Amino acid sequence: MKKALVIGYGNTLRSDDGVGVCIANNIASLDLPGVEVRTCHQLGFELVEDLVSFDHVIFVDAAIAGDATSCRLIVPTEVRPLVSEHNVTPEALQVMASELFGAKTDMHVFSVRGEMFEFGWEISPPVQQRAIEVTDKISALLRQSTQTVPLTDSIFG
Amino acid sequence: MSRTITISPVTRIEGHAKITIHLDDQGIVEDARFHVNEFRGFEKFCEGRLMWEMGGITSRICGICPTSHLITSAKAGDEILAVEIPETAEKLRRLITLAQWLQSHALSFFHLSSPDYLLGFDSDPAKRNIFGLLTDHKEFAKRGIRMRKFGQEIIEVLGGRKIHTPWAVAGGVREPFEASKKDYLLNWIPEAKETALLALDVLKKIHVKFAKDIPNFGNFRSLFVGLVAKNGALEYYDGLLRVKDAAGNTIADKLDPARYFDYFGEASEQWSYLKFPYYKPLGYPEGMYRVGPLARVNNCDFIDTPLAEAERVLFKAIAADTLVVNNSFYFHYARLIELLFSVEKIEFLLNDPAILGTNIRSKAMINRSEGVGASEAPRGTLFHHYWVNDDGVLQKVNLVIATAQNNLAMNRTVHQIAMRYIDGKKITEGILNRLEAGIRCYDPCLSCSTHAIGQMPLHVQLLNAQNEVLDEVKR
Repeated sequence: MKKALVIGYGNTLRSDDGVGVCIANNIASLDLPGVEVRTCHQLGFELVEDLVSFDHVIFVDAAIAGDATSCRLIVPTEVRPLVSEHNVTPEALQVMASELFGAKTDMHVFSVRGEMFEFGWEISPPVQQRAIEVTDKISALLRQSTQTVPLTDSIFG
Repeated sequence: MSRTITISPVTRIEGHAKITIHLDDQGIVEDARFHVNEFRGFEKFCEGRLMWEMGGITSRICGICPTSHLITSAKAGDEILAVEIPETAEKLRRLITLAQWLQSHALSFFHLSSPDYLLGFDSDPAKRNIFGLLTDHKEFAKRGIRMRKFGQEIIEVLGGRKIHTPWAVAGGVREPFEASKKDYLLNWIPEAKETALLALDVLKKIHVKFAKDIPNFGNFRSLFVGLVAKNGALEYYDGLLRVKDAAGNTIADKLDPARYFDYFGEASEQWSYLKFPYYKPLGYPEGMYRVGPLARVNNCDFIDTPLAEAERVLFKAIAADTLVVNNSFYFHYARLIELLFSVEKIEFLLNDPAILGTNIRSKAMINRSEGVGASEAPRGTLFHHYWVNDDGVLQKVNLVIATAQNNLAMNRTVHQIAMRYIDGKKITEGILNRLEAGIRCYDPCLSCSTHAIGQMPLHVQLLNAQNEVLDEVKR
C-alpha cells in the first residue's frame, strides 16, 4: 500500500487561520489506512526529510483571498521560491525534497479561504462548511491514491 | 530627485528594516542608521492577562525562539510565586533551552549566513540563500537542516510541539520527560557533534577567504554583557550578569539580573521603533554593549564541555592582547562554539537520571507582586519583568529583548561597512550584500525585538547632506 501524509497548518488562535489544522484533525479521525496526519503552526525545512518517505503529501492551509476552496498540484520547477524561515511554502519543501533527497513525492495543496482572522479558537460558520467539503475531497483523494498497489506487490503479494 | 520616504501605517505593521546612509557635502559617509519601523506592542496587550498565561502568550512573539520567551516567562513566574522549582524541572528547562540554542544557531549559520560566504557577496542575490547551496554544497545544506531538526525534535518531545509550546509554567513544567524517547534523542548526538565540527571547519576557511572584509565588519570597542555561571562557566539558563569592557576588563560582575533596570537604560531615537539599551554607568551612547554569542564566549572564564572549551581557547587567541574579541564578524564563530556546546551539554543532560523524575512542579499562590525572569536566548540576554495584583493579573509588563540590546552595535556596524565600501552616489549589489551580512552577524530577530510580525526585507537609502535621496535599493 502507498503511504500518504496530510499536513494541516496555521495559527489556531487566529480563528479561520486554523482551518488547515481543523481539516487535518478531521482526516485523522477517519483513521484511513496508510495515511499519517500532522499539524503544525507553520512549515519548516526540518519537515523535508519526513516528506520523502511518503508517496503522496497533502498540505492544507487557510487563504486570505481566492476561491472558497481550491486544490493545486505542486509542479516541480527550476525556479527557486523566495521564502523566509517564518514563511516556508509547500513549493519550497518540494524543491528541497527533490534536490536533497531525490524525492518524487506527489504534493497537493488544499486552500480554504478564511473569512475571519481575529483572535479566537472558533472557525466561522461558512468556513466550517468549507472544512467539511475539503475533508470529503481529501479523503476521496487519499482513498484513491493509497489504493494504488505497486505492480511488484500485486504479483508477489 | 525623490525625497525621503515617509513610512505609512501599513508598512509599520508589515515590518521593514531600513538603512539610511548620510553623506556630507563632500560626498563622504557621515552617518549610517539601521532603522526598524515596525511595532506590535506585546507589552501593552499583555496587561490584564493572568500571569500563568504569559508563557503561552509571549512565546507567540516569535516562531524562531519561542522557547526562550517561554522559559524566561516561567522564570518570572517562579519569582512571583516565590518558589524554588524541583531539580527535574530545572534540568528539563535547561534541556529545552539548549535545544532552542541548537535549532536557532543552526538556522542562523546554515540557512541564513553561510550562503553569503560560501557563494560570495557578489553572487546572484536570487541564488544566495539556502536553495543556492543545493547545487554545490548539498551535503552541507542537508546537515544544516538535520541539525535544526534535532533541536526541534527535542522541543517536540518535551513540549508536545515544535513551535509555541506552553510546556513551561510558573513553578516548573507541565509534563515530565518520556523515558522511551531518551535513546531516540541520544542517537542524534554523534551526527550532531560531527555537523557542529564540520561547520566550525567551514567557518575557519571562511575566515581565510574573507580576510580583507572581516576587519570592517563591526570591528569596534564596546562593552559585552551576559549571564555567567557562578563558577565562571558559560551559562544559558541562570547565572549572574557580567560586564566586560573592550580590553577584556571585568567592570561589573555578579550583578543580580532581577535588578537589570539599575544597570541598563533604554534610549529612544525618533527614527526607529527599536529601543537603544545602554549601560547606565557610562551613559548614552557611550554605554553601548553587545550581547549574544560573542559576548557570552568573551565573558565566560571557561566552557564546561571539552570540545567547545578547546574551541573557546582558539577563539580567544583571535583577541590577542585585548582578551576579548571586538569584531562582530566573529559572532559566527562564537555561535558555532555554542552550537557544539549545546550538543555536548544535551548529551550530558540526556544521560542524567534526574531528568526522568516526576516531581516537576512547585505550586503556590501569588506571593510577590513583581518578578523578573532572565535567561540567555540565542541572540542574547532576555528579560521578562511582570507586575501583578493579588490575583495574578498583570498590571504592567516589560520585555527587554536581545536584538534591541545590540541595536547600538548594529548601527555602528552598518556605519563602519558604509564608511569602508560606499564610494560615490550608487549603492551596488555588493555593498547591499555586505550591509546585510554585517547585520546578520548579530542574527537579529526584529519580530522579537519590536514584538512585530515580519521578515527582514531591507531598504537602503543613500542621502546627501540635504537629505535628498541619491539612490535606494529595496529587497
